[in-house]
Amino acid sequence: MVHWTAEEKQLISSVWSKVNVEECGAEALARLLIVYPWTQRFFSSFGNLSSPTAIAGNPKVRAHGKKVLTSFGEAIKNLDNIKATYTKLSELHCEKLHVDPENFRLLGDILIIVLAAHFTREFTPACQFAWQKLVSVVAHALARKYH
Amino acid sequence: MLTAEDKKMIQQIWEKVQGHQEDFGAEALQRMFIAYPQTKTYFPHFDLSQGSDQVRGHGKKVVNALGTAVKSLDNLSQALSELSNLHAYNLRVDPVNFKASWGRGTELLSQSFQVVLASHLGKDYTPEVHAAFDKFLSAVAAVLAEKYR
Repeated sequence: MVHWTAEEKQLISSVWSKVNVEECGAEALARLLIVYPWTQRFFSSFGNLSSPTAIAGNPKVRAHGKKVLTSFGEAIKNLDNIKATYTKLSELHCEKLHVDPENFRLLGDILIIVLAAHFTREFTPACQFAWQKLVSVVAHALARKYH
Repeated sequence: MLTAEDKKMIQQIWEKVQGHQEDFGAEALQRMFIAYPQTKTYFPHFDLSQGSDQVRGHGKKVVNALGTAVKSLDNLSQALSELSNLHAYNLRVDPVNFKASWGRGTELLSQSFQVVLASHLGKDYTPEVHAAFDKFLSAVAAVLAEKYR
């Protein structure tokens, strides 16, 4: 079980309370597809991904980004049991979606940059630490059921 | 590979770093030490407390080196040759701290530096700029790790 200090929990929830999940999720997924274009391999059914503008404006990207970040919110609600929270999703990503877990780490880092750009100075080093820990724990949980 | 468009964006963003080298460098190192405490193991000889002169001085050095790289985007290998030697034979910092193995984007110093840029530039750190800069830092890191073995 992951140990979270009171400060880490506070930093995570105070940032999260100000996040627009739809916007932030869309932004994070779009950036993943733009900054690491090979990740587009999972989204051949999404239509036009031919340029950063196309990706950022793509409604399927936006919708899926929202879905992904909403799920992230579940981890935040269950910081003390993230592993259990993601058991089914881990199996899904392995057995049905065939996603290399490296992608979870990439998306986690992208999310941090999106938060930094959005919150600017408020996204302090201590905030970054707590969130890097969170994305790492989530990535680990999602990779846990791979076989 | 850095396209002409990438190079242009990198140079434009770098203009915003001018005048803030020491601040951005110090902040990147500070964020790295806090977010990834294992990186502190390379600096047992440093005072790593908040506002440390050594961290500021080192941060400035790092950012100035990146500035040299920005001026030599067409020939990073040559421009960074000495630093490459230094990291390979002398410092021997494990490349995971700065280098992408193919496909990864999570080099620790690169991530920290990008968080500094994003937190200072906000909206100006657009997806396109983010992509160009990520590529640039990856390229620099690859050159630094070139001579490790």
